[in-house]
Amino acid sequence: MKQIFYLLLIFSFCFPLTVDEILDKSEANDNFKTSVSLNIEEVHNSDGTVKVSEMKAYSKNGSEKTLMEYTEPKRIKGMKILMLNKGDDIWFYSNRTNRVRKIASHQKNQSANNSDFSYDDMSISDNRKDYKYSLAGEEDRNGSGCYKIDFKAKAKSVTYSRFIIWIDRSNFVTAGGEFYDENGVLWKKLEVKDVKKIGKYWTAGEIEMKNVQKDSRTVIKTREIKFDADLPDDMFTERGLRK
Amino acid sequence: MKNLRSLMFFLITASAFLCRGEEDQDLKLGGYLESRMSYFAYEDEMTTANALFRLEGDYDVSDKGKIEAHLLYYYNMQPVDPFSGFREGSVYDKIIDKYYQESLDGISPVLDDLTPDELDLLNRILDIYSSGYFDNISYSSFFPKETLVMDRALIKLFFGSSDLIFGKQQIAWGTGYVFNPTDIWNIKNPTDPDGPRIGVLAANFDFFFGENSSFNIIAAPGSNFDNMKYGFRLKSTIGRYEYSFSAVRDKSDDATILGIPERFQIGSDFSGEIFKGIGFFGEAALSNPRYIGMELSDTDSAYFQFCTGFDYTFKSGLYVLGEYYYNGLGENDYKNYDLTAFTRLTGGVMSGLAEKYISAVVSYPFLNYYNCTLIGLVNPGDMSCALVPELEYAFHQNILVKLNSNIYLGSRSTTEFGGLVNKISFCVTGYF
Repeated sequence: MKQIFYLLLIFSFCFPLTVDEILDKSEANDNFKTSVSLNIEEVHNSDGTVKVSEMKAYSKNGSEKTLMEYTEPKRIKGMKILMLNKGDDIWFYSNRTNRVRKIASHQKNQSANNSDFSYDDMSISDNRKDYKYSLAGEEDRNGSGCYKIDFKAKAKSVTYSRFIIWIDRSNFVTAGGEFYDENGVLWKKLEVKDVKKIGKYWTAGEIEMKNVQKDSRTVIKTREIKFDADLPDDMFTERGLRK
Repeated sequence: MKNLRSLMFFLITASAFLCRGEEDQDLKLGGYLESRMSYFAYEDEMTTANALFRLEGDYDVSDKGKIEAHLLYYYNMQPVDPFSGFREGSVYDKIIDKYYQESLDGISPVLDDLTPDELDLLNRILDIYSSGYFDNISYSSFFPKETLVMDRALIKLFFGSSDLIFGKQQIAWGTGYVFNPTDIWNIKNPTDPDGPRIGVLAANFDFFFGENSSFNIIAAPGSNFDNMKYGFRLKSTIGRYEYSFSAVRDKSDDATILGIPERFQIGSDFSGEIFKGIGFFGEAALSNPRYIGMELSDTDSAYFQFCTGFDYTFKSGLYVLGEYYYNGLGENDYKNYDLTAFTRLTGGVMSGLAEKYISAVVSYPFLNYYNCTLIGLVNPGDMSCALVPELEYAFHQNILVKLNSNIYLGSRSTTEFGGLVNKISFCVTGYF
């Protein structure tokens, strides 16, 4: 048995993973049936002030469907965002007007709740469809060996002209990223911290997006997370938004 | 009566806050307090101040049901004459004068039968009224100072694939931003598209099928069966487009008082995007009013309304929206703005006196805490225009400060918007 394992290990060095295999393995980390999490979002503005929001997030089929509900601050409490088809379709619900509005693509690159994350950043869009991508080598990042993958936009309509992500070789979790604006200038930097295995799934405890052009940063901290609980399908529909 | 209302408000508010101590996860309380001061720039320059308190309570009974009650309490420190928003000599003034003249003509035979003492008393009352005496009393009871409104009071019952919402509720039909011709449930002010809408007392049944399709049946009763609004709406999705079809019968107590006939309306709306990212939306409604003596099959008075528009957000955060509205009941010539048109406007049958409108919205967030918005509404028929610039400042996550203005351009006596009074308001809203 051991011999087969060593043989496979030798084979894996002889035949390094292709970029698609790396991305497949990275996406497989999100292979949970459902997840329910409570998250704290801190927006650190360039003037030193901090805005704190709290939101509950419900996901199904590996984030193919996601429902987020803001619970703090009071001004936006009850506002919900529904993302279907990996963020291709986004609906926004305002509880004060009881109105459900589908967000057109042009709004996906906009800041979600005045943070440094856009709606696009918060969904797990199928980047392979919109970008040309290639393996740009391997680098150490925060002490871990990472694959470096370079994405270049196929069309101008997408949020970033180019972005680079680093995927941890040991667990295939995204360790960080750099995102460039339409002029090819560095716009945002992503840092993923406190990665640990909860049950069967690798999970980030903290995600930081730094806007280097605005000198602001947003940190999303996962306070609680549960996997594979029963979530009804109708939770991820317009009916679910209004409930 | 006013004291009773205040007492009721106090009791509801106090009990709500007392309940907070025992708040569990299923009971959610919140709301806001909004304080506004306005300056009206017209002949009799005037300032007003008012406050709005909104208490929102939601209780999840179980996964089978939910109770919601939202209470609005308006307090006007200086009550505003509802007609003070029109300038002297404006088209509205002329409509109202004409109405009074016609009313006086109607009652003149009655006046002939009055005794000299009765006539003298009537003349003295009219003298006091016409002197503007009531208008100049800051804390007059002539116009209401306090208003308590139950905006929402509803029970939601969840069944397998359907919901029944029973009670006073918000119903939002249509995809237009400034205009919603398919929405018979709300009266919308085009210069304040995001303004609060008071709930509708109705039984609302929704049947859901497929991923995002629904069939919605609504009945909103009046004081009798004849004054009942009812209808249905089928909503679904094709690709990146959402669309709906609706059919309604519209008649209410308010419409009856205003002399607006019942009408049957079929409508449709859609929203989606064109050119890979530009939001595109529209709605259309074909209405057939039934005046006294007309049969249901008579379509001589049928009219058409539609709106269509686009919106786009640039990467810089600049948001733009454009919308066109065609109102088949509207008039191109200001001379035809009459009392019938005015009652249709106030009764929510149409959203403007004119036939065509072009509106634009531009919004831009800056310096983390600020957002500036400009709403423009043009009546190309009489070349008048309403501009609503607004600056919003997030003083705190739960406190918003707003400075806005209503600027009306156009001839005072011959245009729709030129007859309205310019104003500037300062508003602070605190959320809890």
